Amino acid sequence: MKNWFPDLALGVRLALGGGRTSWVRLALTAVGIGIGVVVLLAASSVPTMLAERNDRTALNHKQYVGRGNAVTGDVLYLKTWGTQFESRPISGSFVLPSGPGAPVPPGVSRVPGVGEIAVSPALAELLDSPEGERLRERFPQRRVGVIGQDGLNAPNDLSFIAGDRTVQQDASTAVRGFGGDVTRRTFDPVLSLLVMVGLVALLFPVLVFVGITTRLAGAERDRRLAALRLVGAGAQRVRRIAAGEALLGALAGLVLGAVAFAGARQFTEQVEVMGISVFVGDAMPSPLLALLIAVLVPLLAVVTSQVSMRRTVIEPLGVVRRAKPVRRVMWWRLIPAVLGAAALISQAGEMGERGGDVSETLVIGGILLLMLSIPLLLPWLVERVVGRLHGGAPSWQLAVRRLQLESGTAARVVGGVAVVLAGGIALQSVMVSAETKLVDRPTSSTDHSRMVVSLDGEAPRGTADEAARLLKDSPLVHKVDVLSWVSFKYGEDDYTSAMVATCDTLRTQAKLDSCQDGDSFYLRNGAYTNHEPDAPPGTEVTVIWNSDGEQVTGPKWTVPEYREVGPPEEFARHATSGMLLTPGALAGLDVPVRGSSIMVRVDPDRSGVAEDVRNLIGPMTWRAYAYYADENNQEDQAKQFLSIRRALLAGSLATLLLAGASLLILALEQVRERRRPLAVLAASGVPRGALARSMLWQNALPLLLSVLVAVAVGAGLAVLLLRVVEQPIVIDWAGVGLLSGAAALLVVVVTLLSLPALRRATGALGLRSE
Amino acid sequence: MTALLEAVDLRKSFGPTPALDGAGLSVRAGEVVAVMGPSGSGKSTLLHCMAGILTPDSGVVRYRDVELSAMPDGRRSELRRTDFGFVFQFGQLVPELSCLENVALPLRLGGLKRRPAEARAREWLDRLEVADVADKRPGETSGGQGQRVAVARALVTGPRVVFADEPTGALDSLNGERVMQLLTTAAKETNAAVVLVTHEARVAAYSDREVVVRDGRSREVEPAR
Repeated sequence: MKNWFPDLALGVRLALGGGRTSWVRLALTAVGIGIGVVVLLAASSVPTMLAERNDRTALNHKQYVGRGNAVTGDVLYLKTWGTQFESRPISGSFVLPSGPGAPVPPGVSRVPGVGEIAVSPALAELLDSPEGERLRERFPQRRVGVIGQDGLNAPNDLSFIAGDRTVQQDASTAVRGFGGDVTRRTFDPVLSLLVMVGLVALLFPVLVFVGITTRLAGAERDRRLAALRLVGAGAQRVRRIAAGEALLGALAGLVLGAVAFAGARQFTEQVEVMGISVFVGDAMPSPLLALLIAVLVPLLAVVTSQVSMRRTVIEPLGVVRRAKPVRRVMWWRLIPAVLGAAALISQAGEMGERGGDVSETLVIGGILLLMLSIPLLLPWLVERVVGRLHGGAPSWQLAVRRLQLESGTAARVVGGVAVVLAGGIALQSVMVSAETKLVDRPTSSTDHSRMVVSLDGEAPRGTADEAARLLKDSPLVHKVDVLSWVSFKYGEDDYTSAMVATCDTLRTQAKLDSCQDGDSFYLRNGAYTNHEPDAPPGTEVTVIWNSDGEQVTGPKWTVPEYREVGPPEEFARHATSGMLLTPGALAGLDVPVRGSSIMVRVDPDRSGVAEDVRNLIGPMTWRAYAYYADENNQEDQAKQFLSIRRALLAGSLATLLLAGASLLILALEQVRERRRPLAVLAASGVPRGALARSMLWQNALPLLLSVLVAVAVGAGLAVLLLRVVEQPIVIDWAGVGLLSGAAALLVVVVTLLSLPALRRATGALGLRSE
Repeated sequence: MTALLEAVDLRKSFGPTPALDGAGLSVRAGEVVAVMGPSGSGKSTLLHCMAGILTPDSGVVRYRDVELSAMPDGRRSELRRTDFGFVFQFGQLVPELSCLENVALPLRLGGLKRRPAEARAREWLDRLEVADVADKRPGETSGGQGQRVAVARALVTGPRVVFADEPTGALDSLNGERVMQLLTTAAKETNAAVVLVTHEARVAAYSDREVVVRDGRSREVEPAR
């Protein structure tokens, strides 16, 4: 063991000592490994990000006194509220403390008083910016503070805490404290699957590239080690020296990666992916995973360097490849593919809509094994295919002969590319399948001429009138229709409700041929429900409503005869089905009508009219919320899917870029190592164009085969995964085409970038040997 | 006087091609033996077998009455570090290390600390008139300087046998003469035997006796003075 340190140190010395060449090689290795380390560190930060987020969510959990309980001591009366600005959600709380001992929300030092507001840094920035000018009107309160990290989920949160004297004061709004248990987020099964495939598809190649990078300049290293053997270093000693060399590159890469990650994480708050941003403090690798990376990366480098020497005995006279080349066999290379497929087949339907007892280990293991089969199968396939090739132009012949001589390295590099491709194809296909299911549902595009102002169910009487007045006074609003609801109880424990509005307003919700005050209707809407009315005419019902969080029983009423009507031509969100009453139908009943909605007609062509309407009802604070009438989250979902697909595609392309960088490093290294034979070829009259083309074929052939394997494995993986989540089997052929095209482009770019090196190598100086 | 190093009836083939076919050679302490012959005659293979770098298919190589092929790899490595020295046409210096570090390398591999190892290496560089390139890397020196550094490295451990395979093959005649003078003089001073493979009569002239290898067989001749 005492020999280890000096031998490793000598390895380090050798790796550093070759002047510019050594430094360039070390830099390339460090950059290659460093990029991998950055990706690994970022991935290892995800658990911390989720944990910190969960902790803050728990910290912000509101402990309501709750209906039916007595409010004792100082409490904070709190109503949560949401609005939008330019499609960005803004959420917050209107608060009113009952006394000085009222709990203070996390993130602020004191409860904002009436007319005061504390805002998140992102909202503060938006309000202070020129584009936030329209929003300032909605938040006229005096700004008294900025909500700290404890009170936020993410740095880009647009949130606020405002003091408001109108907040209703009852047990349902009384908060006696903040904080609660951390709850684990549960992901949608498809999303879980995407995360699993994403992790394997994007991280696995990183490990492949780390391994490949440490094998750079193998021939040169072998020569160097042979020289050491000549002066008496034993075989074990030479291996230790080689480990030292590999270790230096890995450590340099580790340091470079850590520094790059530390630098990049400073900008995490500025980066927003799919509406999510992360606090700098949250982008911290979990200590255990960071330690694992710190140990595994150098270990992987050392192991790879040792494995690459397993068939090579470093002999004093140079490098002797042990024995004759062994023909690769296929059977054992198929084992991971078979095991992986079996693992995934065993989980078919376990993550479907009916639920099941899924084993994440089997799913991840299956994905991992299938991915692993790619780099295992490729060298065999490349060897077999190039072994059968012959003839052709000189450039083709040169490339084929070179690959026939040694195709392992090329196959290993494109193996990394193929893993990315297969992962990308599987991911895209799972996404497309989920998306297909989504777009098959009925959908419509938002009608920008109709808005709804929804009033809080607990808002006091007169709120609807106040809101209607604010809206009617504005020239921006063409028409205002107030819809109210009245609730009934009937039978043992059955409930129903009816919409109450003038004839004019009801016409916005149903197709009425004639209508007079006192009329009743029943709206049937086949698109939503077609069941029989809950309470047919003649049913005796009791009017009910809520007051101070308690249910109040009102007068009795008999459901009158009504006319059945259909929906209007235009889509109207509030009229799905049920009773529609004119005020006259409830004549004589003292009914506090609450929970109203106001239908607002606006000019759809006026820019930012939605923001204007939201500003108009701004003074209503928590009591009113405005949105487009037929706004549905289907459009948002579709957008979300699109953005996830784009993000995945971007991730796949970024990893491909990493693969390209590795391919380029390897191509440059190969040119450098083979500069003498290349120079001899050029000197003996082989045109440089032919040499360049031979390089292109040399890169393209293995890559073409890797694309074929990637498509086969990727599509197979997609089918198996879609069976696990019981989604329709759809392969994203457009994505396959795009990723394969990107891979082909990569080869061309790599070849072009390596041409200057080739030109230098084929110069007269390349003929010098010593 | 008994032989320090002796090869008897060596046979060695590379695939179907025989390189040695019953070659033999005996080297006494302090003597310089030139192994001559045309290209492909097997003279380098004979040298490599005698140095324990290659293992013959049959025949015996004895160093101080111990059979080399019976030694484990570790022992042969040690022998190369302590008792043997090598000078080749090119490729034997580690390009990443400075000339001084190259010369000190066998000493350091033997466990000597850096300072004393480098001090001894510097003495040898001085003796071979290349002290001025001590801090340069091999790639930054001329061919003659590089070979002299290689000679210094071969002699720094005080070997009993120096194997020199075409040591002047890549040098002009002036530089070649100088390297040979320095090599043989230093070897004589330290009583080291030199096995010198060459096809140049001018180089062989520095030897005490000559052996000619042809078609894998060796034959002793009188030195041509």
